[in-house]
Amino acid sequence: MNTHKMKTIFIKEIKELKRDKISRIMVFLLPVVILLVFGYGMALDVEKIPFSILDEDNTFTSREISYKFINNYRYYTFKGYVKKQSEGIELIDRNRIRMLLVIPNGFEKDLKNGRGSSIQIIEDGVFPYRASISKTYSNIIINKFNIEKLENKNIIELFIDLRIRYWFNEEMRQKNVTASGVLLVVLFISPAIFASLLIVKEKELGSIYNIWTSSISKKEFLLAKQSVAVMISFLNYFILFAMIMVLFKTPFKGSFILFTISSFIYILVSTSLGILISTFVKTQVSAVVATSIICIIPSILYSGYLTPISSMTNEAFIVAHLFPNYYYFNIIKMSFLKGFNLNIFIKNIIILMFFYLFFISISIARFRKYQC
Amino acid sequence: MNAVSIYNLKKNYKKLTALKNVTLTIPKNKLTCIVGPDGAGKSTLLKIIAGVLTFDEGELYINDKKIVKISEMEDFKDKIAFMPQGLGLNLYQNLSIEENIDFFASLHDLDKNKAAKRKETLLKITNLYRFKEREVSKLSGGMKQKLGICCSLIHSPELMILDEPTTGVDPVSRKELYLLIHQFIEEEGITAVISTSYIDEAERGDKIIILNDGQIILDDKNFKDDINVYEISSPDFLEIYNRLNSEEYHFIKLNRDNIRLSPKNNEMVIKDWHQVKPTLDDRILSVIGTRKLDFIISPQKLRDSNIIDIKNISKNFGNFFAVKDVSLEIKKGEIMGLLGPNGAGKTTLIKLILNLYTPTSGYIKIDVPESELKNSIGYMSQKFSLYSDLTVRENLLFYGSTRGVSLSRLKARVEELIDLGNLKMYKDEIVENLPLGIRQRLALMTSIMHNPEIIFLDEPTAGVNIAERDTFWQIIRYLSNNHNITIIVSTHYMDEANYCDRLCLMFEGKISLIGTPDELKRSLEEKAGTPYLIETENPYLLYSELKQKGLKVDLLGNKVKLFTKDRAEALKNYDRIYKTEVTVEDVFVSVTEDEYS
Repeated sequence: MNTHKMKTIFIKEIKELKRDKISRIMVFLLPVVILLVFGYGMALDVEKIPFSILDEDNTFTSREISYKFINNYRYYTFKGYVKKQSEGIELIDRNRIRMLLVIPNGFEKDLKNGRGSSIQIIEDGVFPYRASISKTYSNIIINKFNIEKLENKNIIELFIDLRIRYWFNEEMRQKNVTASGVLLVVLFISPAIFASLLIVKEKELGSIYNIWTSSISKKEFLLAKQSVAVMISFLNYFILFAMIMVLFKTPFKGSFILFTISSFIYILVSTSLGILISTFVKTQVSAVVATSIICIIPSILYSGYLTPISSMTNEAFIVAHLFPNYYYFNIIKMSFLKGFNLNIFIKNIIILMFFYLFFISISIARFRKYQC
Repeated sequence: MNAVSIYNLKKNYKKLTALKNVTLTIPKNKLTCIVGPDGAGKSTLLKIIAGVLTFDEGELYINDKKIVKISEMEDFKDKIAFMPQGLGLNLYQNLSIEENIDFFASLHDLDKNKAAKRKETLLKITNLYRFKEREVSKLSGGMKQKLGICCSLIHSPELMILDEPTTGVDPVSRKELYLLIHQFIEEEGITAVISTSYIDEAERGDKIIILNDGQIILDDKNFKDDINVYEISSPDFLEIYNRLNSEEYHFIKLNRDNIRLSPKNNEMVIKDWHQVKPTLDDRILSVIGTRKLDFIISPQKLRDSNIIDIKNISKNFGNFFAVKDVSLEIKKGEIMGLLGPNGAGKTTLIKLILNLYTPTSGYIKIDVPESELKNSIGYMSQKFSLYSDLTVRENLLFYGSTRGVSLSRLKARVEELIDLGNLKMYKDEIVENLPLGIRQRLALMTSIMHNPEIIFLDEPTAGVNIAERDTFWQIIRYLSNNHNITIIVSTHYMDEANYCDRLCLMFEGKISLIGTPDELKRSLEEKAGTPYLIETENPYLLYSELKQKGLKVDLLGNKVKLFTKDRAEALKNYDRIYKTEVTVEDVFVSVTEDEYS
């Protein structure tokens, strides 16, 4: 291999990137935007539900139960009392609150008389998932309240106390997974798009003739182009990693060096996939569209990012193993949440290396230095 | 010795046949010009020679080595330079001139010191040295092409292949480009192959190959000197033209003030004709033939009333004067040619006339009722304004309805135009499948759908073959003479300029010359002298010698064109010398060069 010719291509690309504002923005901003969109948007945690209270009873007990909700800052945000039910409904309509707690007149009296009483919760059911989670929170608060009351009256002393401990993600923060998992998506899509554009750009504009009519070999050309994409994407990796740690405050339990090595190999895989795609398309627009579609599906749907692989149907389970994303996600989960495990690391790294060699060799075989 | 030999080469793209059966040789150390209209197969041929395109059948030899597989071309790639079609498309727009050359140098793995020296030489020869830091995107078309040549030459190739390097380049830069190539042939012994769609450029080559529809129709070795070409330039040439039966002639070409024809029967005689030396155009036409349309062109009317009256008009964009104090009168029924390099202000002037721009100062008077202004103007753009998925008829019907032709008249009008444009045999064909010449004729028909009084044509026959161009201009002549329609043609191609009644040469927003083509040629002859062609063993050397003496010269392949007033002196010095004619291109180049200097 003639490294001098490869260096020529490499330097030319870096110079062009320096001069061209738009591609510079594309290359560095796109990954950050994806990180922000996915990191915040994909988080499925239901927290800080805005709500109001209609307290018709206005007694000690009604205030006591109100404060159970108001003081639960993590899951609820109190938006004030309302005076009429219609007022509360209107707030729901205007999207100011998502839940209205109604404590009826005579609430305390009924309880004291031992008759039992009821309160009403009106939920905004537009998003059933969110509403049902919110319902679960209210159930827990009310149950706890009931048990306290019963204990106070010495009615029950013995009951099964279920204590769950969540391992690896102790606080059950979905964001820990979605934010760290964004690396899986970003480091797949943007290096692939960048790498395919590096080649398709020359095809579309006509400068590919310079390559075709020179004696640089296919391998030299493709590897030189890939090295540009790898370098820039690797730089992006550090930026993204820092952003995840700072913005989303995810824990990190693995070895940073080994995680960086795995990410580097993952970037090799995604850039070589981009190069492979570039051998099929002729225009930059089609390269972006094709690469995005081809990359988004496996990295989001078949990686275990949204749905755990183990809970997939048989076919999907097999398909998931055919994409490189699953293996990198294993490393992400290990590094961010579970802690280092040499076996998992080596196994997944080897599989990723295999994907890289596979993609790059087909690319070199498919790339032609002539037209047909 | 031949650098390239090709035997019975065939190439098909999916549906299309690009090369039918091509046999040719490219001599070493010479400039070979491959000439043909758009779609003739020039690019295909050049790409095959450059080793970037496969071929289906036939044999290809590079330096006498037979190429069986395309991968064998890899051995030659450091010896071949290829510049693809399009203005600077293979250059990197964000990089500077110098950086582009450096890239090509190291791509070919040149020694650093050698490359630096050669870069300097190339930049100095092409006059780009001063601009070496400038980014490619900020260069003019001519400069881009020169840089393209520098980049191709940096690795001292043996064979240099340039695909349409002069398209979109103004005549002065075009001339410089050819000189540059001759210089390298002379000094470094390279072999050059150039393709172009302009026949007048072919003269600049040592060898000419004319390609039409995937076949070679002329190769300068088999020039038929047996064709008889006559010219009729009597005042009643139009009447004679109308009476001619095209069956009896190889071709009949209607020019602005004469007819050129070649009878099939050598005994035939027409009064007032005189035999002329066949030009390259005549030779090509005698092979591909012309078509005389079956309408009667009436003699030119007296043109006395002005339809457009432009007085001291200026238009500036900020500090930049696009049009500067231009006065121009265009007579009703006249064919006016607007010439000038890119950025000379042609388009701005047209937009001012169309009332798309308001002038900064001065005024334009158009002799049609104001309310009728839009309806009395037709416009045919350079890029097709046609819908390529519709048929010829459907296109006409569509334009008719958008142009407000009433439904009761529409059908009849469409039939009229199909007849006028001689489009009957194509009327149900999808436009996309039609050759360029037919499409341009259709575009003309759509632009006159609403019976306008003035039509604007923007490079209407660029890239069209000369037979189709003749047909196109028959229609224009007919519209001008019979219907008194005023036609304004904006172009920088001399082939089109020759058909105009008057030419207006623009330069940097001003009119630098105006007059009939003959007047312009005569005035150049008065100023610079009579042109002679000198044949010599070493034309480049002679050219440089004469140039240094401060004489007006041009290099045309193996001949040198010399302008001189001293006839005796010229005839004394050279034996192989004969008188030739001033061309509009000479006028254009001369004016532009004067303005630059």
